Amino acid sequence: MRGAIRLVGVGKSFGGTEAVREVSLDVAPGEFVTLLGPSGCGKTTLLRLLAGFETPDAGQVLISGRDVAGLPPHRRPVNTVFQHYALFPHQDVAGNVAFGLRMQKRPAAEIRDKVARALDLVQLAGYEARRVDELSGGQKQRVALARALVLEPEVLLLDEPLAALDAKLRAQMQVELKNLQERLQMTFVFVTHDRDEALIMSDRVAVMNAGRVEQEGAPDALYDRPRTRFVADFLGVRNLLHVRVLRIDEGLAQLEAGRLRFAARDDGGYRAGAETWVGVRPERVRLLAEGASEAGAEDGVVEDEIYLGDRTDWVVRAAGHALVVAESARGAQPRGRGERVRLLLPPEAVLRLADGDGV
Amino acid sequence: MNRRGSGLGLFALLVYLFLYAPILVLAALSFNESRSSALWEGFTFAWYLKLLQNAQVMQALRTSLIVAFVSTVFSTVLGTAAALAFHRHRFRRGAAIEALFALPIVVPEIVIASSMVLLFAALSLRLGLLTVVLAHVAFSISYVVVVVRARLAGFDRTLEEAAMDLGAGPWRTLWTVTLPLCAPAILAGALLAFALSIDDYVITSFVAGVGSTTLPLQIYSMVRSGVSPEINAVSTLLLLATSLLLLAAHLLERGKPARLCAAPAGLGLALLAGPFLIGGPAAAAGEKVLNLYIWSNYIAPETLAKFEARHGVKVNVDLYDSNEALLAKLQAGNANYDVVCPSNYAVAILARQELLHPLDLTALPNLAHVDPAFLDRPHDPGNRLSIPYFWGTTGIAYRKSRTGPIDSWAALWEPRFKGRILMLDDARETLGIALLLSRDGHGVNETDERALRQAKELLLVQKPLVRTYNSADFDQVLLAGDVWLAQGWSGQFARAMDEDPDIEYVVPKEGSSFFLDSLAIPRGAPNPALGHAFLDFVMEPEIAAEICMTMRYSTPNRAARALLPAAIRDHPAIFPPPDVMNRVELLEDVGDATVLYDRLWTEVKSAR
Amino acid sequence: MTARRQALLLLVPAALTLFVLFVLPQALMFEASLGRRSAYGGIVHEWSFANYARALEPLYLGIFARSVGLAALTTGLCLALAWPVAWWIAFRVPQRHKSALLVLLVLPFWTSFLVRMYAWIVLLRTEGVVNAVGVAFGLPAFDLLYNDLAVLIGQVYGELPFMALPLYASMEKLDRRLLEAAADLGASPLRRLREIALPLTLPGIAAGAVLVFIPSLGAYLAPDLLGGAKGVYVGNLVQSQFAVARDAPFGAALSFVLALLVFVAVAAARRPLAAARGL
Repeated sequence: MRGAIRLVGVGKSFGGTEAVREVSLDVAPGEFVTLLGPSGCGKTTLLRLLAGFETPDAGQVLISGRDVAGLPPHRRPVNTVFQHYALFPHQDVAGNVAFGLRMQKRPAAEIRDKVARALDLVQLAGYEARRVDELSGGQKQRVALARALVLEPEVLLLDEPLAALDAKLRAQMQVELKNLQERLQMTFVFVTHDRDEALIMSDRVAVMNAGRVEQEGAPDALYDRPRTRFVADFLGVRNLLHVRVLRIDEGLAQLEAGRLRFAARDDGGYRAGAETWVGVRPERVRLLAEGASEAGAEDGVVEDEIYLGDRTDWVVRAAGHALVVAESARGAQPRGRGERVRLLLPPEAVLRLADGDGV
Repeated sequence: MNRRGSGLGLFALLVYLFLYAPILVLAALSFNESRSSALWEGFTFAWYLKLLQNAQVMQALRTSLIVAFVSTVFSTVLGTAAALAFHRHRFRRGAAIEALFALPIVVPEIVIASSMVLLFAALSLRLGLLTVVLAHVAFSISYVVVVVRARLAGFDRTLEEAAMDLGAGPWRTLWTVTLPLCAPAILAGALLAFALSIDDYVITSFVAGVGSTTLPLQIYSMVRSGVSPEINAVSTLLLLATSLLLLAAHLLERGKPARLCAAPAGLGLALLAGPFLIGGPAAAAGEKVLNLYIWSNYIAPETLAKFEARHGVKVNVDLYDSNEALLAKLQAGNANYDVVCPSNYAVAILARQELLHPLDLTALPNLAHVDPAFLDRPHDPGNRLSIPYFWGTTGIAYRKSRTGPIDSWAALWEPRFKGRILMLDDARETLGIALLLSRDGHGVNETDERALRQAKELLLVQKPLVRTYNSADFDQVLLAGDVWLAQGWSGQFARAMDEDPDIEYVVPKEGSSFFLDSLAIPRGAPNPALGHAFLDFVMEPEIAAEICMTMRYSTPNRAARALLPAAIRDHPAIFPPPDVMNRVELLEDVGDATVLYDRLWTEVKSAR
Repeated sequence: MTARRQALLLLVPAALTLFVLFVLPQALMFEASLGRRSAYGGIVHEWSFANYARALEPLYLGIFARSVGLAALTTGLCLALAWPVAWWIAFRVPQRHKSALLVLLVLPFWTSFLVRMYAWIVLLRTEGVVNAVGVAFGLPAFDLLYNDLAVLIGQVYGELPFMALPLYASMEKLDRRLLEAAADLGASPLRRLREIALPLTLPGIAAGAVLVFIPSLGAYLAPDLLGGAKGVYVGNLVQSQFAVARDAPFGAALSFVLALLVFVAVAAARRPLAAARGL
């Protein structure tokens, strides 16, 4: 049970605004779970409820099987890596890392030993006497990490720890953090608004929206099968269409969005005559040359080109909808604005989405 | 930097010049050879040496530093704690608590001062160091709160959360993270509290008692003889000490190595500790102490030293500059003086309120040396409560090269002296001479409202001619050349005449008032026997002569007068001819008419 | 819960000190203001509002008006002098010199106010330093001392830092990009001052105004020493009731009227402060 987390119906509101609503979540020992969502979705509040900086209005929080209600932050078996590191500017690197051990009144020799090992772990051996404001962003990040890890917490909480780093360093730290976690077999609860970060690092991702966990699952499952309009949108399903189900035959649902008609593989959730949302990833839409006569293809006109280096996004207007189509750089052919194309939404690429209360 | 920028810089430079002009002047004067002149007469360190020898100023400096230090420690601790409380928690009755902390900042000082006196009297707390420290703590707390709160407003709360997260409880978080990070603000708050304490005059003057004369009080009471270069010297030294400490703090904040900051810090602290190293407070344990409460410039330290030596005691001197201050202290009933020096009318008031200790005349054999003309007066029949100490007249001192001879109060109404006339800032003295001039035979103790209103009209007519009303350093204003004629008291003018032979003193022909200051022992004095010994001591002819020589006020001691050199014995201001004595009248208490006098005087002063 | 308890524990000592040493005395003071003066200058505790009626007589109202005028003038002049200086320090001076310049603003305050006032007398008197310099340049000597101008100089001198420091604090928080944006949008320097700089430093102006106005209302040393005591201000009036006329009840009543004035002034400053906080 050491390192397990269980949240049962947890709620928290601030002056009438519900920041967290009825969240229930289980985290297994040694698991890397990410809370993913836009700012204001309640992910940081949830983390602070775990750390003990906030007390829940409703529900239960159990850490390692123990109800931590009424337990102040300094008595909880968790430690936090803060968003802007929160390193103590009046202490040097060693002082920061040793802080928690000093609070536990450990013997000096043990502190020295553990601090050295912790700094070694984050590749900062020899930085003991450095002043905090002399460190680079990445180094501060590592000190913050060492400071939390040195206490060997049952759960490590990380609040957007990489947000302030530049792209290259962030990518590097993502890998390092993940390796570290696997090596230590420690439960990590990671908060981020960065979809890629969440998908790369986590064992499991919980997508939050307006205080609720909208969907949770392994990164690939989540990526392949977002269940709600909000989750789909957040995970990069950019073509979202409100459709009416015309009929269902041969395992295909025939859909209609305005003048646009296309089919989706029926997962058993479509009901003839009902309305619903569907989504298609830009990279799953196929572009065909003008005049190509594949079944189900629609005529369209290229409205805009967004060059992204490794791929190009085209905005294509077809049957009154502006759809985004992505082509990898290698496959892409030069196209001009106003060029006529044909466009195909493959049935297996169409995802049925619950409405959710997303954007 | 562009043209507009340099214009702004020039403006700022002028403002800084405005701020530092007086500071430069006082620093320069502390090295000036001349005592009273603003003109440069040569460089000297003499005033700094005199400062070291001036026991009273050094004692006041020590008291000020002790009060400032203790009150700074307490107000900084209390204020910082309160600021942290505001930072940590939103209180439910926030507005009321905020208002409480705003009180010391928004209530005018004079109101704070007078209300605290009422409180200490109600608590029957003895006025002294304790009450001064309490008052200083009280008015400094809010300023510390303001400064520390300002710093905490920009405080990154996640640092505290990080500490709690790492296992520090609320108190340890406070101690290990919050406090160290607020240290600069706490230091700034402490420096502000120190500055407020060391500069406070108004509140301190109300709540001070035995042994709590602070430097501002000492300075204020010395003002009668002009701010002496010693005061400029002590101010310069204090400024230097603070500058050094601030410099050290500044270097430290800029991350300079500690040993670089140690030099200015050490020097600054040494300057502040200096007064305690040079002749510390003498009163050893078990030694008897005489607490003397007396006018400033009324007794020389050398004279007191003789008394201390003869009786093996220590004399504690506190100073005042008005009878009313003395009355307020004795009436509050919580001062502990052994000997006080009230004027005749104040003796009468104290006698009626039974606030004086009856004298044992058998213990005062030297009373025989006192001129009977000053004994058995109406304010104290049979001298059962007081003995005469000094007397003096009210008259006009004038610069004879500018005015020619003067013999009448009417000169102070002459338009040709417009802008060159000084009058005492004193309802009794000014209305008094207006009464004498009115030719209806009114005396200086008139209480008839109609006569007083006429006198007021006369003063209103005179007002456009008056340069200034001043009853503190009127002699200095005359010496400095700002005025040519000054109404004032004889002793101070006698000293002015010694400095400048162009100054003449006259008791005008219409008559005038005179005062008789006595020594008395307050009821409840801790050591009345020693008080008697002191009273008898100052009536010894040699001692009385010495006091008269050093202070230049008129001694009522006949035997002493015979011992004085001719220059003083026949000085027209100190010992006026007998005909003058026939036309002067003692100022008496006018009872309820005091309020009328004050009101009429307010009307005169507030007229445009 | 523990945070609340801790906060209370931290607050109580200071709050209690202030309650005992400020609120209680004010209550005693109010009681005294209802009494009357005894023949010897004590307090007779027979309650009436006579002292308040007296405080509202034209003579005393005139003195209150004069004090408000002096305080307002002092506040205005302090603002006019301190604003550009604070601006200069905040925006024109290199970072490393700022704290030194701020300290220099306050340093004169570590000498006794009294001593500084006397230094002004030496500067301003007929045969004083300013006139000596003037005469050296062929100017006639002026009577600079013992008039309303001298009082104003002394008052402004004494209060200037209390205006400059809050102004600087509010300017330091001001984002200078806002000014650049305004300039970029075509605002002239004067318009930038009026439309951006002044409104955004309003909290500092209001705080400084309160800190200068209130002590100026109770001023009595500068009028006495530099003004030659030729005008009466509330401060002198209250002081003389306690220290000369020994009419504590009337002095207490005057104090309460003065306190009332102060509260009106603070309430007036609250609005811009509150509005500015909402920005």
